[in-house]
Parts: sequence; structure tokens; C-alpha cells
Amino acid sequence: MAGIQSQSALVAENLCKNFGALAATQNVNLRVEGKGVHALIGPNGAGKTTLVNLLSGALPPSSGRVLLSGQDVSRVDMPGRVARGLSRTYQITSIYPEWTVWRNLALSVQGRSGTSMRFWQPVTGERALYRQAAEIAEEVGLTSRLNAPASDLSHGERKQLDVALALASNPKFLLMDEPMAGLGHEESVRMVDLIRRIAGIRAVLLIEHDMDAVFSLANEVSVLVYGQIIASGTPEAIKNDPEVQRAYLGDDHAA
Amino acid sequence: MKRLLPFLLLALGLALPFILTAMGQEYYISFASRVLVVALAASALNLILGYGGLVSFGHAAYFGAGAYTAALLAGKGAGLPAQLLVGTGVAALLAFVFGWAALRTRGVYFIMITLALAQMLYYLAVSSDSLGGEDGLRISRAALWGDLTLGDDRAMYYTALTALTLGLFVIWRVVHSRFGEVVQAARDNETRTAALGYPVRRYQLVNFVIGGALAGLAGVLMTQISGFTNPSLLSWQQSGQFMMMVILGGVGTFWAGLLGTAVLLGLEEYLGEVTERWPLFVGLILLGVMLFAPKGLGSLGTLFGRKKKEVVE
Amino acid sequence: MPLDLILEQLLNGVQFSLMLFLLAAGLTLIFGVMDLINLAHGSLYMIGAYLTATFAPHVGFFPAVVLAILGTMLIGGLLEVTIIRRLYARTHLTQVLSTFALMLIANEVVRMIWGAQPIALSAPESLSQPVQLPGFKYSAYRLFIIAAGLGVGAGLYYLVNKTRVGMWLRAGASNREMTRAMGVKIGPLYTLIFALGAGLCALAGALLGPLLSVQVGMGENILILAFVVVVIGGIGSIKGAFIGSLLVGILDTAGRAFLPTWLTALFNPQLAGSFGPALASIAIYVLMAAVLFFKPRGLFPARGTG
Ligand SMILES: Nc1ncnc2c1ncn2[C@@H]1O[C@H](COP(=O)(O)OP(=O)(O)OP(=O)(O)O)[C@@H](O)[C@H]1O
Ligand SMILES: [Mg+2]
Repeated sequence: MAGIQSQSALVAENLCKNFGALAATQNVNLRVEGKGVHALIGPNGAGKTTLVNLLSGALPPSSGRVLLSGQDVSRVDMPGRVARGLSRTYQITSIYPEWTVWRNLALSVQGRSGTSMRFWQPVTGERALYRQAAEIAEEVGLTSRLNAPASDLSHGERKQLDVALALASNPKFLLMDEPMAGLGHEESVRMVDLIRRIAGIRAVLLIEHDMDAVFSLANEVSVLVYGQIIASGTPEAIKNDPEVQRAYLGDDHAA
Repeated sequence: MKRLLPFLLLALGLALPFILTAMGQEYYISFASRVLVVALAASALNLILGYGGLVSFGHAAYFGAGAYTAALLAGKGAGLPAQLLVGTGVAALLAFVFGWAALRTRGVYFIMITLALAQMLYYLAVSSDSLGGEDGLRISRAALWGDLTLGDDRAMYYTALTALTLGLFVIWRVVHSRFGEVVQAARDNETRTAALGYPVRRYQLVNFVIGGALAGLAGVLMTQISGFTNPSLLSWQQSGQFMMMVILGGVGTFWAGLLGTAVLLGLEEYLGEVTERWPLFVGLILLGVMLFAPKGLGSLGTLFGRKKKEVVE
Repeated sequence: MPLDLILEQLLNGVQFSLMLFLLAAGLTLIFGVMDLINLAHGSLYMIGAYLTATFAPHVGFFPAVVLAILGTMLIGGLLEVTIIRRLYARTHLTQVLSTFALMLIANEVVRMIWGAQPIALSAPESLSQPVQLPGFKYSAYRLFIIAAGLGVGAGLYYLVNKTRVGMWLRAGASNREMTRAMGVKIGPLYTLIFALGAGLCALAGALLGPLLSVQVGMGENILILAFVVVVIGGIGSIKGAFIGSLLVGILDTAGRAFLPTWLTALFNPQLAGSFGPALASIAIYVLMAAVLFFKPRGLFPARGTG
């Protein structure tokens, strides 16, 4: 299976995860590659976050494999997968609330620029770290908030920071777990914009409930219901897939 | 002011023996040495507990390991440099082994396994003849130069002051380095730190070893102050006391170890002179602080202000 | 080694295990249900022993035990209502240090009331003669402790597995939110559990008092053992506490009794003489480290993973 095309792809192979009797992920096969957005949609509790946890290494799978650029990374931990170019954001924003935005980002930049097993030089002396952190803040639109403690950010700004943290490791693959959840209209528009720019140079697996955003961003859409992928294809094909409409889109999309 | 504080404290530290002598209170020079040495061990715990967020309930193990190593070496005629070097090294090695085992677990289990591992060492010391059993080991004070030994109160004091100053300097550099940044990040949000690509446990283990090594250094000096070691240095009550000091001083703030140690030992010393029942009052005060100012004495000011979330989980 | 000696040590191990279980059972429930690390648990054990020793000369041993249990439960309940309950929502660190402070206070109060010297508590007259077991004589009092321990263990098993309160306990230990959702009044339930734990401590203290010595700080070493038991068994699991107690109690007793002899047989006596006791006393910690290495959440984790 691991042919030439899979050289730069994130692949799930027969992935399963059980929580006790609950099969949260059932035989999922998925392929995220190249550039652009691969959207993953599905109703609440379908197992989307669980799948992200499996792909990113936060959870071990019950069975099946995860391949990253052709290599089996099923037994590689989360930091190991980050080092291989895979990064993620969190549905429930996960930041360092007591730190300033700048320090949050510098920590993240530090991860990709040389070893952090340096014990003696004060980190605040490393201009380059903070400059790159500021560049990322610029990219996500947080420049004016650089010196604010992250706990002072609005919900939307936290979402932006969460994305920025993941971006700082300069990943080839980015898993985004509902980056627009709870955003206001204007913030959503900005986030869609940001995702489009991010996806211009890397592969994004986007989990999102906002169908307009999904269909405007995605090259490919997969539908997850009860832990199973019931359909996969172009946005057009998915929109018109009768099974998807029955199982999921239905009224939701009509509304 | 904040930048000057270390230098003011150092100046005060350097002048203290003279001040005490002028006041006719020379007895307290030796007490002050004890405060400095214990403060070093407490600051080391603050690195692990305050900055690293790891509730290690076995800090006495590394302190005691340094002390016992020094005492064994002293018995073989080794000098102070060898005692300091080997004592610190043994404590670091021990911290590596214990830390490695304990870091497989989290939360309550981590607290309990660090405690149990330290207890293991305690019983080893109590029941082993070569470690002197319940009585521990006596040593003769190490020579500095000429006739001067650490038996001299002032020589001991300045040695302790040097050690604490160097130890705090190391801690300061570590905390503010790239490494320190990762360690604190892991404390505040472990999952995210792993998701940013940091192998969290590795950082925590290295931090644990640094803390253990510094505690070992303090332990070596402790034997020189008291002239002996005994199992109580390894006891869990000693570990509890270190934790008390760190919390009293304000867990995760730079001066926590020094402040907490000065306050707690000072309190014990003072109450000990006033009443035989001093442990009762120490207990009551500690309980009061824990219930009403769990972030340490420094937070007493904000007691009636905004209620903040506790940082260490 | 003669068989009867082995049997005798084994019985001693079981006897100690069961007392350890009394402490560990309370500790694991308090740990599991209220998520509280209680270092003052050993103080309640000490108080139980002191109360028994105080009442025994006046009312006789067995009534004294009952009085001590009631008294300690009362003290435990009061402690829970006034102080402990403020600690549930706090961090483990705060809990450890607060209860550490409580322990210091308890030691000092006991010293104030009863003095610093150990006080006498002897086994009841009726159980002072050894009994003839097949092959050897064994202390009647120790046999009584074994019986009492088994009885209380069975009672606890019934309470936890067959009664409504027990259902709440099990629910609480595996899922706190669930207990709330079931509409159980948390406050009184917690007080009850804490008092129950105190009563079990008192019983252990009362029964072990005549074998060990009743003195200030007597609860501290056994407290650590009880923690080891709880961690080995899995936090919140009564069954785990029972198995853990047996493992720890028997290993500890047998280790002390046999290891030096075995070592002497294997190595030279001098080496065995200096390492035997040391090895025996650390055996249980090695066991704990080994258990946590393979099962980081103990043998019978009560709470689901995650
Ligand atoms: N650690 C866990 N332990 C037990 N069950 C879990 C765990 N994580 C998730 N689940 C269960 O697995 C199922 C899938 O959860 P998941 O969070 O992956 O859904 P989701 O698709 O992300 O939902 P949402 O749209 O609400 O974010 C749910 O029934 C959830 O309760
Ligand atoms: Mg989700």
C-alpha cells in the first residue's frame, strides 16, 4: 500500500479505538496529503476528536496503523510525530493562560529551532525566537495582543492563539479540531481566511460543523458517523450523496 | 528594587556573622548556617515542585543521600571537595533512578511512589550496620586550609553561604533558560507541551535530577554542620518539612526556598525557646496558612482580594 | 526451617495484614471517593489506641474498644465537618500539607494529655493463654485479631457490595459526577465515610495496641504502609486494599523472619547479618515499585482509564 504517492501523506489504516464497550473509531481509512483542506464532518459524538487523538498520538489505537510519510508511526509518541511534521489544534483551546501571548508563541517556536536542552542562556536573550513568534502572531492577527496574558484574550483570540501554537512547529500536516467553534461571524470569516492561507502550503485535516466554511475550503470531504467513515469525496459529491444526506446533512444543511 | 534584591540579600548574608557578633548572639551563626543549607535543599525542591509542578514527597532521600555519602567518605578520610562532588553525584544518580521510576506515574501515584522510594532508603539506613543504623554516622569536620576546619562556625557559615548563592544562581539560570521554559510549560499544560513536540517526561526527569543533585549538595553540608548524619534526615517527616517550606515561601516563586526555610526554622527556634509545645503552634500556623493562604506567605496580601486558581495540580 | 515456625510467622503475617487492611480500607475509600490524601489517618489510629488504653482499666478491654471506636468516629466526624471538608476541592499538595499539619497537632495534643512516655495497654485476661493448634501453640489474642479482622472485612464487603450506601460508595469511587447525578447528599455521605474510616483506624489501633506500644507517632509508619497498600491495590478499591494488605503484611513479616536466615544459608553469615534486615525492610517498597512499573494504576484500579 505504501506506494510512491504516499511519500508525503498522513494515512490511517483500519484504525480502531474502543472505550470499553464503545467503539469510538471503527475501521477508519483516511488519507491526507499534498496541499489544501481535507474536511472531516460528522454529528456530535461521531468520534472526530478521537480520530484526531489517534492520528496525533495522544491516544494509542486499539488496532490499525497510522502512517506518516510512508513510515508506521503507530508506536511513536506525540512529540515524535510533531518532529515528523504533524501538528494539531484543540477543540477546547489549550494554551498557557498565565503566560503572555508572546511567551506562548516563543515556547512553540523554540520547539522547532534547535534543542531546548539548554540550561544556561536566558531565553529572553534569544531575539530570534521572539521575532519569529511575532511573525506568527502577525500571521494569525494577534500582533496587537502580544504582551497580553493569554487569560485576557477573548474566546476568538484564544482560538487564534491555539492555531498559532500549532503553526509554530511549521508542520507539513495540521489537524484542526473545530477551530471555528463558538466564533462570531467576523471572527469566523477571519479564521476561514487564515485556514485558506495555512492550507496553501500544507495539508490540513479540518473538523468543522459550519458547512458553508467546509464547502468553501475543502478539496475533499469525509463523513464520520458513529465512528465509521460513511463517505469520502469531493464537496460536490458529498453534498449530493444520498446516504450522507440521510445520515447527517439533512435538515442541518438545508437550514 | 527587584534587581537589587539578590545583592542586598547577599550583602546581608555576608555581614550577618559580624552583626550577630556585635549583638553578642554568636550562637545564632551556626543556626544561620543551618538555615542556609536547608534553604538550598528547599530551593531545589522548589525547582521540582514549584517550577516543575511535580509533587515530590521524597525530597529527603536526595538530601540524606548526600549526607550519608559525605559521612561515609569522611570516614575514609576524604576531604571536602571529594565529599561535595561525590555526594552531589550520588544524589543526582539516585534522583535519576527514582525520578525515572516515579515519572511513569502521575498525580497521586507520583506523590506516593516518591514517598515510598524515599522510605526504602530510610529503612535501608535504619537497618544497615554499615550506615550506623538508628544512630547514624559521626564525622570529624572537614579541613579547609591550615588549621581551619568547618568546625569553626564562621568558616561553616561562609561555606554554606557560598553554596546557597551558587545553588540559587544555578536555579535562576536553569529556570530562565530554554529548558526552564519547557519545564514550566509542562507544569501549566502538560498535554499541550507534548503536542508542541516536547518529550515532556525527559525534561521533567532532567529537572528532577538537577533538583536532586542540589539537595545532595545541601546534604553534604548538613553533615558538616551537625557533625553527624542519622536516619531522620531521610525520614518522610523531613520530606514533609521541605514541602512546607516551599509552600510557606510561595511555591514557584524564586525566593520560596529561602523565605520558607527562614520562616519555618525561625519559628521553630523562637517557639522552642518560649514553649515546650512548639510543634502544636507550628502545626496550627501551618494549617492556617494552608487553609487561608495556600500560595504562601507572599499571598497573604491578596487574601481578601481576588480568589485565584491554584497553579499546581 | 521447621514447618511450625513457618506457619507461625505466616499467621503473624496474616494478623498484621488484617490490621493493615483496616487502615487501608478507610484510606482507600477516602482517597477514592473524596479524592483526599489524608496523612492524619495515622493520627486517628493513634487516638484509637490511646482511648482504648484509657478506658480499659475502668471498663475492661472489650467495652473499651467499643468506646474508643465511638470516640474516634466522633472525633473523625468533627474533624471532617470543621476542617477536612474544606480540603476536598484543593490540590493534592495542599491536602498533603494540611493533613501533615493536623498530624503534628494531633501528636502534640496527645502528648499534652497523656504525656510523652508510651502507655500500657495489655491484652484481655481471657485471651492471655496460648491455644494449641495442630503442631504448635499460638497466641489466643493474635487469633482473636485474625478473627476480628476477617469479621470486619466480611462486614465491609457486605456494606460495599450489598447495601445502598455501598452502591453510593462504589459509584463515588469510580465516578464522582455520577454520584451527584444520583442525587445522593454528598456532604453527609462524606462525613459518614470519614467517620467510618476513623472507626476502622480506632479498631486497628485498639487491637494492635497490646502488641506494639501505645505512643506518640505510632501511627506514622503504619500510615505509610497503608499508603503503599492503597497504591498497590489501586486507589478506591476495597478489594485492592484487601489483596494489597495481604501481600504487604505477609511479605513484610515473612521477610523479617526468614530473609536473614535464607541469606545466611546462601551467603556468608556476616554479609547476611548486615544486609538481611535491610533487604527485608525494603522488600515491600520493591514490591510496590514493581507493581507500579507493570500496572501504574495499581492492581485493581477503581476508576476507568482516562
Ligand atoms: N477518553 C474517553 N473515554 C471514554 N469515552 C470517550 C473518551 N473520549 C471520547 N469518548 C467517547 O467517544 C465518543 C466520540 O467522542 P469524540 O469526542 O471523539 O466525538 P466528536 O465527534 O469529537 O464530538 P463533538 O462534535 O462533540 O466534538 C463519544 O461518545 C465520547 O463520549
Ligand atoms: Mg470533538
